[in-house]
Amino acid sequence: MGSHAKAWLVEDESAREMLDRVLTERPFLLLPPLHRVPLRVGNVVELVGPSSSSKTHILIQAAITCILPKLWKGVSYGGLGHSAMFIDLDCRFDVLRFSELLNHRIMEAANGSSSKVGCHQKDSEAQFERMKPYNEELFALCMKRFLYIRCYDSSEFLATLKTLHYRLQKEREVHGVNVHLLLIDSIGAFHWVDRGSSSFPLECDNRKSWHLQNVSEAVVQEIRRLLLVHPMLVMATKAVVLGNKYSTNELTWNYRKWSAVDNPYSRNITSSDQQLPYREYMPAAWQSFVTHRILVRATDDDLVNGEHQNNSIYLLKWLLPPLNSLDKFTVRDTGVFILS
Amino acid sequence: MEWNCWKMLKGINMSFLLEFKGLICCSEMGPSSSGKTQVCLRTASNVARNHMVLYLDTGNSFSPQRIAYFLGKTISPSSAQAKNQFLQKVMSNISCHSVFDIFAMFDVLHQLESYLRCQDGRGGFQMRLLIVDSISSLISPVLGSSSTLGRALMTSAGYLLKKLAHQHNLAVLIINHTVGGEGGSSKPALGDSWKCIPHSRLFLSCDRGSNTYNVSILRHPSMASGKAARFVI
Repeated sequence: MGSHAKAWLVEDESAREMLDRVLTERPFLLLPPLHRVPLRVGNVVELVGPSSSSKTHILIQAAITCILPKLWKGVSYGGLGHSAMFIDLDCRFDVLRFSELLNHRIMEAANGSSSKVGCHQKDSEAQFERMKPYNEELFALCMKRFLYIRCYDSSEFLATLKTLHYRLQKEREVHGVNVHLLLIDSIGAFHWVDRGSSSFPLECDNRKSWHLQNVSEAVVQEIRRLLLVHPMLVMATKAVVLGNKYSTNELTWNYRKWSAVDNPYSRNITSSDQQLPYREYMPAAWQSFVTHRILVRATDDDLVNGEHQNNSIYLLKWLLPPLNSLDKFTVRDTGVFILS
Repeated sequence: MEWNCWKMLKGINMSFLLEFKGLICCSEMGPSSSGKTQVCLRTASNVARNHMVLYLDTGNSFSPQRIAYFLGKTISPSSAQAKNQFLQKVMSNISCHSVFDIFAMFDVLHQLESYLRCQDGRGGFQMRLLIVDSISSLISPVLGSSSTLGRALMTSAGYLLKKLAHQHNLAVLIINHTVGGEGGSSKPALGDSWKCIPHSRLFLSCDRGSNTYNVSILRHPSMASGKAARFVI
């Protein structure tokens, strides 16, 4: 009896050992263009922006970084080697574009490594041809790690979330890798439909009525439960309408508004009169669940890329935690490319 | 399943080809008389050679004579009887329904869904194209600023079209109008909530006094927006 009680007091590991373990198992992610703030599992990142501001591209970039392996057959790809789960509520995902971006990343990494050795032009081409069957094998391996689900309304979304635990467990048994990333394309996709259907009462009294708030609370509850068992980084996009004063000229972005939140202690006081550049429509349950928020939008400027077509330039601003910097990036065939 | 709808638009001199995969909803918008219905009729006539087309007409703008004209231009001169047979075969592939309000459209789309569910797997002509001309005249009457029901109907209509496109390999072509925005510029009708629904959006305009039309990309999953081309019908 005494030895059992003593066994409780013996420590499992020191603090340093625990920190080492946690940092290797749950590393900080620095995904361009979200490289300013390191992200970890358990964070909920919301990408906010008007329509067609490359939010889905940022999600795809994160997914590709997640599913690529760190090192494969001697070539470093710089990925995480985990699975990624994409829940498509917008139903606009273009799998061909995704595979194009993945292929370009794989080829870029393969070419990068061969050029480091310092081969001649002919040698590198021959090496590329030799690498081609490897690339297809790697491509197939990566695509197997990308899980995709499409939902056409809120009830399908809730059903998906409730059964996701078993699906992820099965994937873990089959592939041996954990799911590290949960991507939700357009969390506000069913906002209007749910708002409209709240005027229709359900017949039975003991069930909760289908209100926007109830649906949102249920979604948040299910994701929280999922995160307990499968620690993941959650990234969601949200389409908003920007106010008129935020025109495409970036000089009109008013830095004076954000200076009040430089002091972290005053953040709670000023957050209520902090003027967001868009109208927030998600219920409070989701708003309090989000830990990081980023605003992206397109500018009218184009990046003239030589003989290639013009690529639009996008602006990125961190709203939570509020940073004073504006990042510029553009979308190319290899993915998102930061300009400044 | 992948098939190229716009590649079949021979005779329209476009400097680049837009590929419609079997799953994509495309929304075309433009001011009045910018050739939107003409493009729809042209597309319908080309696709109807090998597949079935469903044309939902909201403004009585469907014209069988125009389709016959497009078809007549492309077939080689042969006997009148062979020509007639060809025309009959192709025209029977196009079915046109007049819908004048959004609930009628929902009705037709649900019937189409159950029809396609039975039809999948059987051989013969498959439905491959759904044209809605024009969705703004169906949705604008229900869109009011106070009630949310209008926007809920619009989103549900959009999702139903996307579901049909994805589950039954349809290409959906939707016509939208433009309205005046601030500063005199024109912006697409149905507001910002509609912007999130179609996969790709094209802007059509017409040069005054000539037969040339301009089309530019506003949104596309894999092509940069802003690309433009000119064509004649």
